[in-house]
Amino acid sequence: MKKYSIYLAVLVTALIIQSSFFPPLFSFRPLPQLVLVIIISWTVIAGFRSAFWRAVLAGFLFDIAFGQKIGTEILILAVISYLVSFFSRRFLVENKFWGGLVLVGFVIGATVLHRFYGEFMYLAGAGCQIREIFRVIFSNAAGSWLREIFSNVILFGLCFWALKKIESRFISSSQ
Amino acid sequence: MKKRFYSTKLFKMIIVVAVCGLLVFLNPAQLFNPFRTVFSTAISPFQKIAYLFSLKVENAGNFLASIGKLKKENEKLTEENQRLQAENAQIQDLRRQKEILENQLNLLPREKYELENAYVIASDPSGRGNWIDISKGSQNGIKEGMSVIISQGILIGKIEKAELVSSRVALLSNPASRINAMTAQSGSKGIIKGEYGLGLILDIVSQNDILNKGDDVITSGLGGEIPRGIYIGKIKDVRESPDKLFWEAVVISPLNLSSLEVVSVIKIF
Repeated sequence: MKKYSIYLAVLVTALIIQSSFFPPLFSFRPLPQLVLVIIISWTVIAGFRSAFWRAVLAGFLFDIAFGQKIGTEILILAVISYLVSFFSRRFLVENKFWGGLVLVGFVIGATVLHRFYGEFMYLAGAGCQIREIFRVIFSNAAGSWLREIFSNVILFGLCFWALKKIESRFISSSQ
Repeated sequence: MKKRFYSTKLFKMIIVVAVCGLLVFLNPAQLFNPFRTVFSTAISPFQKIAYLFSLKVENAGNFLASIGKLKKENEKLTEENQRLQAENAQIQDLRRQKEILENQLNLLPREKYELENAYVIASDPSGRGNWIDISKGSQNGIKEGMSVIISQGILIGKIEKAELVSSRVALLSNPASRINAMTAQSGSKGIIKGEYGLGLILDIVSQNDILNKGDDVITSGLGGEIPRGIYIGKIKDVRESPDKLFWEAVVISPLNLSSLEVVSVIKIF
């Protein structure tokens, strides 16, 4: 019970930071995706079985908090959790350097997928045609994509370390 | 074989994706509104603290970055201060004339709006600048459709949804936003629309009307929802609409969304 309360607290804190702490600091768009990075970290650390339901909960709270249609964020976080789990079983290695590069690759891939999905759903919801959607998405400066990837990678480093500490504490206390 | 597939990760994911797809398609917003109200009420105080703390961090960062430029800026500001003092004298005279005209035309001065001040507590996490959340809601008399300004009298948006202790403001840059506007110089009327986070467009301006770069855009008051005369921005560029039937203008707002701290909701005007 204590474990689940901590997971919930982590998610709610992440939502508050992403909605209220980041916007004034990052006046350039887009904002770092803290919730996404936490789900990727959990998937790598705890495995798909636990992380998947946390991704669903995170997506639900995200949709509730930001007024999106329920299911919008749940869908993409669930898919990203599945893909990260799928590829981590095949590509993650013991070697720290190469393993670290693989994790960075996951973050980059997830960031691109999440951003593309977010822009697509937003523009489609606004009634844009497919051609117009792709025009707007690809007219965004490459710099904004790179900034988002860079900030997510840095955030991932911090979150992965912190969440790993929390998970290992749970494991040692249950033993 | 069937039993094995039902317990696989892929099956779980397919089920969740199918359910989510259905929820997005059907969009049963009413079903989840109670959750939204409870959640937004619960996290609103923490969002306010986080936002104010973030503004302080941002200000501290800006101060450190600007230390080297302070001397030059001081000289520039002294010069500008002198110019403004001269302008102020002229403005006092204009203000006097304005009061006389208002009395004659029985117009309601801006100072007679009933305003509800509120802190900004959150903003669109996608970074598109579509909305902000503020710290007052229906218990403070705030309703959907009310205009939101900043203290200098610049329009920033309208109340999209009022929860109990917080409200969502749809900003002018929101593509769903439509505001009746006009130019202050020539009175040319049009509609201000947001352009997918890329800026504001003054659209559907008759080809018989005049639009010039540098013109000020204000609310026209048509429709009765928003008071007349609230500043929106300045015209940067004028062009024909894609269908060649109207003029349209790119409007630049003087707002810096990332440094918004306090806004005012116009409750009565």
